[in-house]
Amino acid sequence: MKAAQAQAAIAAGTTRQQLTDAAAVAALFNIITRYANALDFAIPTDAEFEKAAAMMLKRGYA
Amino acid sequence: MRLPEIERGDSLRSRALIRIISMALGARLPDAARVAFYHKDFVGPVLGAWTQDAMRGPSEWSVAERELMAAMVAKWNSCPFCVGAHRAIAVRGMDNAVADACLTDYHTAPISEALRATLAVLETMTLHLTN
Repeated sequence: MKAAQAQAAIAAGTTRQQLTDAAAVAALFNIITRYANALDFAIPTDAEFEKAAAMMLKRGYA
Repeated sequence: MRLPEIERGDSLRSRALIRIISMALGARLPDAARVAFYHKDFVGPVLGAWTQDAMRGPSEWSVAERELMAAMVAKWNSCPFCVGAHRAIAVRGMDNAVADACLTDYHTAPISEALRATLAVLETMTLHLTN
């Protein structure tokens, strides 16, 4: 299933490096989403999400 | 479970940082950032560096595309905090309507075929990785 999907992605124009990069994002967020739910993160308002988004674009994650 | 030590900061330095950044932000500092400050010798800086590399490092995917992938994984894992946070970053580099269409149903959203096929791989990785 997964190999066939990866081959379909490559047939659709995705490069191998792009698949690797996307898998890194998904692996990471499979961890982070579990942290967020386990720790019951408070849900910000839309306005707060927008302010935080501007900060995350400017300052990054490190 | 939200620990008071995460909520307010576990050291004088973390408490001061949380206050100062919240003021600069004009909003309560989100819990994701509070967790990153917690016990810095444990996970925060390591996870932060990995996240920075994956989300902002050199890639043929744009920052907005990677943020949308993060929001999609969050959707599949029923994580409203991460959907909201990463959708909000994604739409600074792509149309609101495209991001929302993708979050509703990526099979029919107006995105590239490469991104659509990649999302199918990520969905399997997230929900159906049994072998």
